[in-house]
Amino acid sequence: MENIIKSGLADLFSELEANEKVTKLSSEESQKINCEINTEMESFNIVFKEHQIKSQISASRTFLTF
Amino acid sequence: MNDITTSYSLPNSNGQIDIIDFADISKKYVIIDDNYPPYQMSTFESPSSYYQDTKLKDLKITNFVVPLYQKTYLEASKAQKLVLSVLKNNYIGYNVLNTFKNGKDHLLLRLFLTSSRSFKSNVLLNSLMSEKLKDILLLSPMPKFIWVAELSNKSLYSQKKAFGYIIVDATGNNSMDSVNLIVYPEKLVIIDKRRNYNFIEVNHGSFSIYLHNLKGEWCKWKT
Repeated sequence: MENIIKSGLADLFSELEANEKVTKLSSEESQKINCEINTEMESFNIVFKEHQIKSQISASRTFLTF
Repeated sequence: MNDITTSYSLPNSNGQIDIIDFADISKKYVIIDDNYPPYQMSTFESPSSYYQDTKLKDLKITNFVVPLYQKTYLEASKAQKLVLSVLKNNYIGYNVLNTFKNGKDHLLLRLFLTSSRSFKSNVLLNSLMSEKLKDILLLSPMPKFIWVAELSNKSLYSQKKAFGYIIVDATGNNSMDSVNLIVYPEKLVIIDKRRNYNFIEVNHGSFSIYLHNLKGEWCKWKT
């Protein structure tokens, strides 16, 4: 079943490539994009962790006050 | 819809993308509060506004717990950040489109978690979607759960229409490896096995937004 889906998708892309304008980025360019976004996500993880800790403290305080 | 203002702007080399995040639109939620009869209506910003006591009237939500399917590792804030990083990227972002360069309309972003089965079922029944786009979405392998960022603008959304998707693997991590497919109004961004980007220029127009993500009266509460 999976092979049927994969071959269907491959056929579809071949058809699109034949009929539509296709621009392929080189693997270096693609890697650059991946790196750029992944670095951004890693820095977000650090901010997110700090935020989580702050929220937990704040939530505990709210709970105790309540 | 016209009263809604920008939620945030994403800067990039071609200017900035003004985004209206659907999550920021004020909505009322049905809540259960043990101190009150069930099914109170309240907003997220002031969840205890129905209290008479002034000390309790201004409570704020600081944390909440959402039970997710056990294999859903990518939580909402990280999925949102990933989608925004894609949108503002100079090579694969929204700014590569003529739609962005020609008009400076707001981009309306609606991010939701759904199963790929429900999503594909909705795609199949979407009468406004082009057959080519349907084929691509239906034939693309997707994990059990996906985050779907539905892209639209104010005028289209008021007609319950959208023009694009960013599909993210909800069972994956928060990196580009989890981005499955990007559908823009003029371009499809296909990511191949080697994680290389291929742009296919298509003109698939707009299609109906994804409705009925949850069970309700519309399906008589049946799956």
